[in-house]
Amino acid sequence: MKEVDLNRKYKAIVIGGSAGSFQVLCKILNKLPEDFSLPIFICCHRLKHIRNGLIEALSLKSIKEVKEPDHNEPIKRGKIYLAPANYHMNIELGNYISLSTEEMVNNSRPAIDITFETCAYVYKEKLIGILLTGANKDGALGMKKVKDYGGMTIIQDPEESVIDTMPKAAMSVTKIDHVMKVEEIIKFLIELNKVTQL
Amino acid sequence: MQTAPEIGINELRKLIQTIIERFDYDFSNYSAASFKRRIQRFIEIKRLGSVENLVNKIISGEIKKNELLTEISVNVTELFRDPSFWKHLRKVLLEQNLSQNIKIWQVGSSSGEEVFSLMILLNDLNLLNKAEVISTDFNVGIIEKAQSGLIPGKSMELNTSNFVKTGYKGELTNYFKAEGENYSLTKDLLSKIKFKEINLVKDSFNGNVDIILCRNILIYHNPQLQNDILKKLHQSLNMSGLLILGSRETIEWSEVAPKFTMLGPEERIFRKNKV
Repeated sequence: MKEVDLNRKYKAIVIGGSAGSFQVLCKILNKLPEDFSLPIFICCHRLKHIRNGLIEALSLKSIKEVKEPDHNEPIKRGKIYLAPANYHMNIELGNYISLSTEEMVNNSRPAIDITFETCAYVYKEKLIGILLTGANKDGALGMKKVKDYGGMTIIQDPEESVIDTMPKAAMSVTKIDHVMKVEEIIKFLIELNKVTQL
Repeated sequence: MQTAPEIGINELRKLIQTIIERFDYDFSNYSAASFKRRIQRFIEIKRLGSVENLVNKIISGEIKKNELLTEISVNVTELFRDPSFWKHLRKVLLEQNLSQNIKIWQVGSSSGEEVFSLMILLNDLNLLNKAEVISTDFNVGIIEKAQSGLIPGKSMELNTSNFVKTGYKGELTNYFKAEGENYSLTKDLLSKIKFKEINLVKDSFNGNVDIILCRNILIYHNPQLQNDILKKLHQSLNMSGLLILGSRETIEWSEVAPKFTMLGPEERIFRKNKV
């Protein structure tokens, strides 16, 4: 385990990914402790017209419930929220989630940049942004926002990524605090949970 | 993705106040994240550089109400958006045993695709002559566009693909004829739609409606405004009337939640309870 600052009281985690990220998310969710107390927002690229399937598949692997939020859904501790197909997912001041059908961003709806940017604005230095494998540059500017607001930035090790375009794009626009392999991300989240529960 | 500088809360408040004063439209309770992006986008498109310049140009009259409302509201739409919904709606309407005339209110005309899809469904169900259809929007400019019955030719491929997935009778070209670069909805369908300007934020709607089709409108409103609008929609509905929302919109967390029953898990269709 690399030296990671676990002293601060983090309030939320945001995870983005595209090509190859489904297996990674499954691994993470499969190891996440049941009492994991921070809310997790996941935005990954998905097919526009296929509403069902992804949430069921992730839920099968996850110990905790994974939920596609409805518009204006209140954010709860320890819940996992997945951006629904064909909607952008925004985090709002006032502790709730909003959705929108605005134009695609980086050819994507949901767009990772949008979820990351709105998360960064709300949680500021209390946010951890994790960007996984992917074949385009969505999420890079979102990670920059996380960093600019004082949050922690983590990318999946490009060497381990199925396609390294996405984590590398983030590296090229902002400072990345930690480059981790999936197993390290999992260990980190477990350690983080011990600290945040105190 | 906007790389524009972050809009401050005070700037945003000033802008919203200016729009209220000059254009009599209140964006205060819009979902903040997407509203901010719409403003950033407008500033970029018009090369205004800053919120302050936008405010000044509204005050000076250089920026007109319709222009601003059209760009700020999201008009991304398609015929039979979410085909599985339209397939399901057909089934629901068939089960209603509609022997009487019905009044349907489609909220958010936008460029017309939603209400055009509804007319095609009513035709498919032989209900055209029994249904009174009202389509409303807060933006007069966009209503004029919907009223023209025109949809761009370049979107026909997607529209046709959606239509095929609904499993409705006939072909989409039975309902639209080519007109230059566009396609226009046949007059017998278009002439049956009553378009009307309604501002959900402020106006109430004189009801007695049997079905309200209001998909992906509430997503632009914060919990308070969503609650206010849901109360108005509830009032407008006849007893046992149906409220139809977008696939990720809900009455949960609102005051009217106990006054509706969800029809099933597939789609967001709620029936107004008898009191």
